[in-house]
Amino acid sequence: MPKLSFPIGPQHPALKEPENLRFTVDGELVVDADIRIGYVHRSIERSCSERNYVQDLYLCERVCGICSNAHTLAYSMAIEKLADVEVPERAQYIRMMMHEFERIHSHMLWLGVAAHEIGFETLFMYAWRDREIIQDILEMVSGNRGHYAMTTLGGVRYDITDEMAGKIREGLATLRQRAEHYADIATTEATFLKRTVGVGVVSGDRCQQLGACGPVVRASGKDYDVRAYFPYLKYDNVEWEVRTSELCDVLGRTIVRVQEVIDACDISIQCLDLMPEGGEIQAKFPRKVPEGEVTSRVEAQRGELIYYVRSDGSDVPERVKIRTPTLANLPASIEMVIGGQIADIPIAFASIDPCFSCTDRMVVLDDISTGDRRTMSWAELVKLGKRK
Amino acid sequence: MPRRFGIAAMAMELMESLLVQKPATVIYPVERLEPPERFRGRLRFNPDECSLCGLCQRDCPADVIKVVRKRVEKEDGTKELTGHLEFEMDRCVFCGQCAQSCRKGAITFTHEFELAQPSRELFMMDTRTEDTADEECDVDEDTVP
Repeated sequence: MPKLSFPIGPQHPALKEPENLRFTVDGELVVDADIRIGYVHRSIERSCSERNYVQDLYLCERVCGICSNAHTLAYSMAIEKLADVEVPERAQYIRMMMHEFERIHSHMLWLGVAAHEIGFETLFMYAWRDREIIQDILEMVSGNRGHYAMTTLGGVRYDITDEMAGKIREGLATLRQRAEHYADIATTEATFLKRTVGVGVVSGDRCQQLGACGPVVRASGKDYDVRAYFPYLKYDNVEWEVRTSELCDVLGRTIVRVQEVIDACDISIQCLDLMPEGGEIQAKFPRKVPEGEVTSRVEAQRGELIYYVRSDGSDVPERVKIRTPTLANLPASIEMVIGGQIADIPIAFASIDPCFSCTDRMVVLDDISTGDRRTMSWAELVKLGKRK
Repeated sequence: MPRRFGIAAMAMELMESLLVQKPATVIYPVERLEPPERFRGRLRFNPDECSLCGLCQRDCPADVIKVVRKRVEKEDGTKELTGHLEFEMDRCVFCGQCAQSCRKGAITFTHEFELAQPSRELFMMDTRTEDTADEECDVDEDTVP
């Protein structure tokens, strides 16, 4: 049978974000794959150099709707390192709780999406229903279900009251129980296993070679987690362990994520127990940041998120560079689909929990027919970006 | 609670939810969920408290706020600071930084969340007032609020 090549995207019903996937198939078997991104470039890094440090906080938050808190956390940590500002201990615990709350909501969201991709609609509905527990907690603490604006330079905006702490404990206990239930379903339910075992396989060593991170690399037997390797906030003070799986497939990634939901519940409860009573939640922060450059990294729910910031001593950063985890995981995702069935493409691809809007950076387009290169100037981008 | 497994457990749960539990959703707009205490809805501006310092304008990430200042000469020959604020509310991202930056508490967020309007012009909020802001704001220009 002759090999057939076909594109999927950039606009297609499978994923909500635009990207172009090109597959070569031999019958039902995928023999080659390629990906092209760059359809939702928003010029965020460049825009950061046009705004002051406070405004950039909210701009970075909007790099991603799902991991918005991870972005503000990484950004704040970078600027605080540059300005040499110590964040109050209570604020660090609150930051850590928000970080873990966001991990819970993201993994529950992913579980629902994964169930939807394999046609397990009941699990999809249940996972998203239970996700509302953590969404309500996030809304109660920060005021919003997304884009929480909780992290500020030098601390956090809101404190956690005793009444809130009680509701958080109650909600997390229920959620933990539900996550255990889903862990059982993922490992025992025959229909789930049929669609996930041996699908999207990529070995741990290959993951490392391709620079993968987050649950993808942990589900391939490697224990790389920024929280353990380069502890930030108060991860040194709480008891937890890096969850790994040797399965290297979609099931392994499911197990790792569900286990991380359980761990996140435990870490959050420990934060409530360990955080000092009362005290400051925000340190004084200078408007002008000393000259220098700094890198910060956090373990976002999709993997390692890296921020690089260079300051020229003014109140506006000279350069902000963001490395999102999806960019690191894309090469591994290509390996996952090659050798598999066409029907397994959606779940194999979804197993890295891709987010293309986070990933897109400046792209230079080559016109194949004429060989011309086209770049857009800053003025053109501004004109394109403004509504008026 | 004893743990239950597999499809049978889900079927039981489904029956339970159909027969016993209430739906997880509400029939909006007949039923309404109360926003939480810290919810950031429609912005409320109190011109009496504003000292026209401009910190909100400086920190707003979406360029929503424009502070218009002018000095007017009074009858006795002295000059006083007056002005108003213009809010382009359709651009607002409801981050709440303006409320945090304001040292006078002139900006607060309400719980109102139904903000749709038929045209963009209706989102413009002009706080033009004859009130005089004669009190200088104690602005700390060097630190982030």
